[in-house]
Amino acid sequence: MHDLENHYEKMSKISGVFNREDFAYLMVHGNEIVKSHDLEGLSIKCNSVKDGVNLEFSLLENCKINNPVVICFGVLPEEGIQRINMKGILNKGSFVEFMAYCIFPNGKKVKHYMEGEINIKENASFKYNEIHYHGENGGVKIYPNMNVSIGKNGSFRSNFKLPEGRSGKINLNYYIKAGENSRVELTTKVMGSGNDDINIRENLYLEGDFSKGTIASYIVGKGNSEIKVYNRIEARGRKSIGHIDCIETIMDNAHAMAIPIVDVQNASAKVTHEAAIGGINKKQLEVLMSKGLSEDEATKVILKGLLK
Amino acid sequence: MEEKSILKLENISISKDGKKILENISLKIQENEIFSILGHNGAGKSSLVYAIMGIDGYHVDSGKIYYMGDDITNMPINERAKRGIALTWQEPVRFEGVSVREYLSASSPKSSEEEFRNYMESFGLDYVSYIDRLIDDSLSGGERKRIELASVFISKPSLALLDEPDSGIDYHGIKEIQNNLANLLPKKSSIILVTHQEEIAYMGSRGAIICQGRLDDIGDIDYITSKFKNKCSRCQNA
Repeated sequence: MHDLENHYEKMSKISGVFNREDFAYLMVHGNEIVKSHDLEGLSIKCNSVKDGVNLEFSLLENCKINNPVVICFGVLPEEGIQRINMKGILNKGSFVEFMAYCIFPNGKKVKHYMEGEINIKENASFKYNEIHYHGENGGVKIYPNMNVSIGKNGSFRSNFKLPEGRSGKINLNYYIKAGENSRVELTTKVMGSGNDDINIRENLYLEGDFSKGTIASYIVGKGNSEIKVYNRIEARGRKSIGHIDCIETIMDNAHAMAIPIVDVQNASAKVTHEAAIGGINKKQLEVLMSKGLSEDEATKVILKGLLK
Repeated sequence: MEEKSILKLENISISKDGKKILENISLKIQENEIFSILGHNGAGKSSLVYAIMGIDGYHVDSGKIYYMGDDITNMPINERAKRGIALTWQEPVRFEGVSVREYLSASSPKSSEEEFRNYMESFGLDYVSYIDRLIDDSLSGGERKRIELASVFISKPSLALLDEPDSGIDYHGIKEIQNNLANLLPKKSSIILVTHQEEIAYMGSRGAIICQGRLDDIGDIDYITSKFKNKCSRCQNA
């Protein structure tokens, strides 16, 4: 078993997926394709290139994949670069969920680039979960860029998480175009500590009539971390509805900023936003301490919940 | 009588933002007793139980709190909890991402799933439907109240402080809880029940009226509820 698979099993608490016939999967270490498996209706083509891979996947019309597609990207040495160029098409009426694990547990000088381009056709649905672990060194820099277009009645749900360890540097840029009556949910949950530098930019363009979307960011900053969250929703479609939610909890000397941009270009559309930045919720802390937890234990429960 | 008291408040006074909110309160709560504290809104009932629990902002200016004979006046909140004091909050807090199981585990880390089931069901919560639910705004205030009650009782406290346990729960739910309450606590445990409703106060055998931050009267529950129903002697509020 490749050591990356060991790390994946430890992180996901799931074993044996990469040998199962009923799962589609892909494991890439650096630019080495360790394992790959597709399923009827879902094609996964992956080619090794310098410093990374070119990945193309496509899902046939009306094909619904029951088990999540498990993807594992990683760099195990202390230094390295990984570039992922991903192109995906979900044809009409199809559905798939990806569980993408990005694992850089020893990184002192590791860079990970992701350029994604996803086309979700009419009535198709795509759930994309990306879970990161960057170890404790703070030397990992990641640049996830994603362009997603969603056709009529389509849906896209993204969950980006880094719940434990150091973040290092995160520069996340998502651009999502939502077509008529489509649905979008973007959720980011990230923990920063040490001198981590986190920049989240999620841009949602509600172009289609009756399109709906939310952007939610839950960020915890500790130590001297710097966090900036720029979330933008542009509502152009008739009766399109959007909401931006940003909750940032800071401790120690962390610094957090939330900059929501709400741009409404149609009188029948509506976009709202809420942002809350501050220390640990004192009432929550007291409630947990009244159950016998120490302040540190109570803080852990609250932060774990925020980033779950 | 002295040996059996679980809690003794000795002339406690509390100020908040420069204003006295409790003045010279003295009380003794016996072992294996449900003691009701009646009072109108803003009388200082909740402040009294917060002071007993040791909540920040409700530390006593003067006076002493004795629990099982020990002076706990300056003891931190979590130490009081470890000694067996537990509080149900009037308005249970939401916890983003924290499940009912995790919340109950925080109260009672050693409890089994079977115990979670029993205590949840004692408070009208179906185990299968609720155990993995998050304690966030997807739950109503009444549901969170039941979870709060379960979390307190599962810790098997020696002294349970119930701050308006009826708020947010319908009449049938209250009756159900009333019927179960006595069976849920270990022997010799006591309850301080804060309420402004006489029928809830009747769960206790003794009680007190708090008015304008002072102890107005203390006595058996018939006497106290009857007095509260008519006129409080301090403020003359009916």
